[in-house]
Amino acid sequence: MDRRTFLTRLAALSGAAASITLPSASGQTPTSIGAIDRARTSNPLLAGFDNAPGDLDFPDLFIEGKLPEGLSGIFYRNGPGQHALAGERYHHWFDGDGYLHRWQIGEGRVAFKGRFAATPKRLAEQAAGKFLYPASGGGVPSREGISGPDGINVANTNLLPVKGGLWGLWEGGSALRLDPVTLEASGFVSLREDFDGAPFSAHPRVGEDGRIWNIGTMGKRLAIYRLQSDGALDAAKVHTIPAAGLIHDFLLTCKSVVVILSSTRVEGSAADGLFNSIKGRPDLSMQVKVYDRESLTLIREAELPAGYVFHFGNAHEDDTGTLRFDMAYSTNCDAVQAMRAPMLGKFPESSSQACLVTLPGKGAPKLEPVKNDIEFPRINPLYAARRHQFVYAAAQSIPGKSLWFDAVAKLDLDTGKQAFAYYGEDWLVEEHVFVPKRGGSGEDDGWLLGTALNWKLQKTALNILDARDPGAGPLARIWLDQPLPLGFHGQFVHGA
Amino acid sequence: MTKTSASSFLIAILFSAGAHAEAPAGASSSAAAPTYTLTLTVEGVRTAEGEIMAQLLKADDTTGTAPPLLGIRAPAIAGVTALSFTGLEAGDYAVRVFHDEDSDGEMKTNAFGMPKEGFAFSNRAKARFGPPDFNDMKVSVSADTATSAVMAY
Ligand SMILES: [Fe+2]
Repeated sequence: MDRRTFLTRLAALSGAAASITLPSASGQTPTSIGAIDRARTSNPLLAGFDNAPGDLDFPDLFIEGKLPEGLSGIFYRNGPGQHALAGERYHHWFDGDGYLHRWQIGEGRVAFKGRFAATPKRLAEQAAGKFLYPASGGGVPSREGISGPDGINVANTNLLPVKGGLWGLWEGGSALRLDPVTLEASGFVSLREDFDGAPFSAHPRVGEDGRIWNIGTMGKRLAIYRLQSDGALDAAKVHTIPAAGLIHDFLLTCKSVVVILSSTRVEGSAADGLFNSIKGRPDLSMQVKVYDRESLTLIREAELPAGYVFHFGNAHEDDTGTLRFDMAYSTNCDAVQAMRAPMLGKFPESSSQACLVTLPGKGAPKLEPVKNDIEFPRINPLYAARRHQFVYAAAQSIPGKSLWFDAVAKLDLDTGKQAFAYYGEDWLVEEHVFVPKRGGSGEDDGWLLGTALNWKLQKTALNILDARDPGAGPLARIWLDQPLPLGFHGQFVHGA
Repeated sequence: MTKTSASSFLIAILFSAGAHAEAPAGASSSAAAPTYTLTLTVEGVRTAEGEIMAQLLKADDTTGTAPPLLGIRAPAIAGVTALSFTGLEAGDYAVRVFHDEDSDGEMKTNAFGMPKEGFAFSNRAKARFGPPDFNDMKVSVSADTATSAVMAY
């Protein structure tokens, strides 16, 4: 993302932009947490945007229901967990230091470990007892300078299990190397010397062959990375693209890497946070750029109606070059700005719609709405880059009825059939991850694992659903004795 | 190693004005005007490898820009390295600095053009989402003047 025009502009100090513009004021308004504190007192749902507690260790959690036979492994999750410090609060939901969950499931027991992602940024700020560095959403003073994006890397968005290891992901800088057992951090991953400190996005895609693709964007630069399953870099290539500001996710087929630029451009000043420079441009189509996944070269371009997309489900490409994929599509091109709301004590009003896209080799694209008010689409990972039928997402059971997701949806892209696990009005439902059953048969033969916050009880729970029949409700619910803030993404690693 | 073409440009700027802090030709031509020395103390130099490169910018109110005036360099001294610009006319200046640790005369960058060698700015200005504004780096010279810069790596 263009937290992120960042050092492209800083690089200007190395020269060609020899002249600099004379003086411009840089607005830095420290924020009091008073407003949200007042809102928080009267609205228990806002526990979803509190700070996470520090280290948590629970060896044996209370299990309501019964763990399914054959489910064993570790469910990791990540999300922003330090929204405020010493009386100052970030202005954007995406800015807080990553808080990592490790739910170890097996032999009838579940253990939990919670740790903040120990980035250099977090360590310095915790030692100082206050925010020190600029934030992408602005609003906090820059007490210290930075020498590159990793100086403000919060590793708060996702995780990537690599053979024998675990990476914590942000999108403006490097991956953070984590111990898969202790969650301790041991520095940033160096993919190759010439990509040190470069953006590595938070939605890598694992292909049907186990190789890993990712993108990284900053300003007009788009990097495409291809990694081996152990995380070693195979190839990388930097392309020039319009400065869309933030390309959060992309798609992978068995042939291609598909990058879609939302209808945004970097236009404003980034002096108080790079998100401030990202402007919605409903007058611009979304741009589709298709790159050969082996050579990493551009092979095709197309357009889609204007809009904004954070997340895609999965893509498939047939022999005729027809691309078929699903996305969580928003007609609000300022969706990035809408995610400031939680820091003001409100729930975001921007919503997105599950949408099936068919993009023929030649001719107009077809967009078919599937379900309103969903986010965090996930699929059976065994169907990644292949043709998929089902997508699972956090959803509002009745669009517009609730402030946050209250259900998990199973959407059948072939028949249009929909099934819901309705959690009820006491719950704020988060992403649910598909875990295939070992030796299972059929695309939906597996479980859905995801957290949800019960705001009435002020407790977070891990839920396990049967993906074949989510409407039956959780097979098991594993309770923490406390709430955790709402997070972003999780990954499941099967046990031995 | 990726190097921006921009960085070779910097080198041209840095050395076109001579290896040491001489007054720029333009400045010395106005013989009557008094001239001053600007001393720059660069703190936080992490090694004695290579050189500290400093580029002086001078505000030009008629164009609203601050073009580079000259560049100087000094062998890096771990901790603090001092440099000075002499023969300067009164005016508003700023200095951009980088630590050329590998002595190749260029600011090493990654594939995104981001610096991989340490840098600093006059008036202890700091980088945020880009280099500081001129105002943050500004040093007004109307007598012999000192400023400092803090390296970020
Ligand atoms: Fe995401």
